[in-house]
Amino acid sequence: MTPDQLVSPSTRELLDRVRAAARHEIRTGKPIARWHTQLVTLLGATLGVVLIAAAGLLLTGQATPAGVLAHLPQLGSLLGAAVVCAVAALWPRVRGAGFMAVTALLAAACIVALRAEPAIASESAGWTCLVSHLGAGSIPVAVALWLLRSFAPSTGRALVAGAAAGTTGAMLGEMGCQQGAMHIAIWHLGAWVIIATVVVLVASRLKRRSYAP
Amino acid sequence: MLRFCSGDESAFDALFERHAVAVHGFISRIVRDSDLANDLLQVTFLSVVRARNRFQPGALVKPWLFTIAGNAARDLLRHDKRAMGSVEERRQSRERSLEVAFPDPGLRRLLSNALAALSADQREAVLLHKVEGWSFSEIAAAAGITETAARIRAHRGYEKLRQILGPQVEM
Repeated sequence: MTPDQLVSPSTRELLDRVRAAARHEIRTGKPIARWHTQLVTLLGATLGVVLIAAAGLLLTGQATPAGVLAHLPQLGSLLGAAVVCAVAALWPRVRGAGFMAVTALLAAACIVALRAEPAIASESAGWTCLVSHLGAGSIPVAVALWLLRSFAPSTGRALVAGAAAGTTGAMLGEMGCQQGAMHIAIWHLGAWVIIATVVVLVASRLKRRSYAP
Repeated sequence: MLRFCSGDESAFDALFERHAVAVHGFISRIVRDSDLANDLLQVTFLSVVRARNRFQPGALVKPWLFTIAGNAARDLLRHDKRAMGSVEERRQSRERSLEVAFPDPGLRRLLSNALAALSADQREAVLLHKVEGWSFSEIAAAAGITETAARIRAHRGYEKLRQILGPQVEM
């Protein structure tokens, strides 16, 4: 008995239709991005926004090269957290990487929140930092959501992708904001949490291109 | 699968012929609606085509396909209003399966009461495994958990049922 005889005509019709759709998808030849290409895309969006905004801050005098250099440990830890989170979000074998992402995030958040109090604190309102961080994070958030369409829904994956996008505002805060630990904890880390939450909420409602893990 | 990943289109046909019927059966058992199952079969294989580069060499193909199908079915059941009816159909179907598996009304009532004492996850795992005959890999794919976690859920469910029912029923 051949396989064709084992299925009913209606099932055979369904299988032929599904196979035709899949073969059409193969023949359209749409490029399939590998995970490391997606990683470069997400990190490129994050760092691209940071570099452009940093250039703007330096040119307008809102940040100084010395001030940026003084915050290198914080910037380094945030960059590390962004890389680890992006890997955790996009690596096909995400389980082990999730723990590393949480560790990197906690380490970065502690290093940023516990930075030395500035000698002369700026007087700008806290919400301006929140708004600017959300604005700066909008492009990486859009990129993260676009990439998440290619994966099965996963709260953990969306959370670390959102955290990676959220490092954009946090890095800009390290360069352009001269306020104390309480301000950082509330407004900078708050913006980070909001961005990660938005990505989780929006990602759960995305129309998927693929449900592969 | 590896030939398909490297661009051999004929390898897709072989993959499809080997697994499509099983994947369709798996989806049908999750959603209990033939139209939804047909749509989800297409979604599953389009997902396979679009994510073929994420298949890990050395991994088993069938669990990967079932995981994709389970992900698509769960997402549909969460969001699609059309699928809401099938959730109720699933519940009714499980009750019918219980009637077939345990025709004695007294024993069935005893079991129903004992099953009600399990957590929803344990109850689902026990019913799918014992009553509906699903494999642990199928339960894992449908629930979005690892096969080990599915085994543990069912095992804990059986343990609890043994405690409740004692020697009255052989599980």
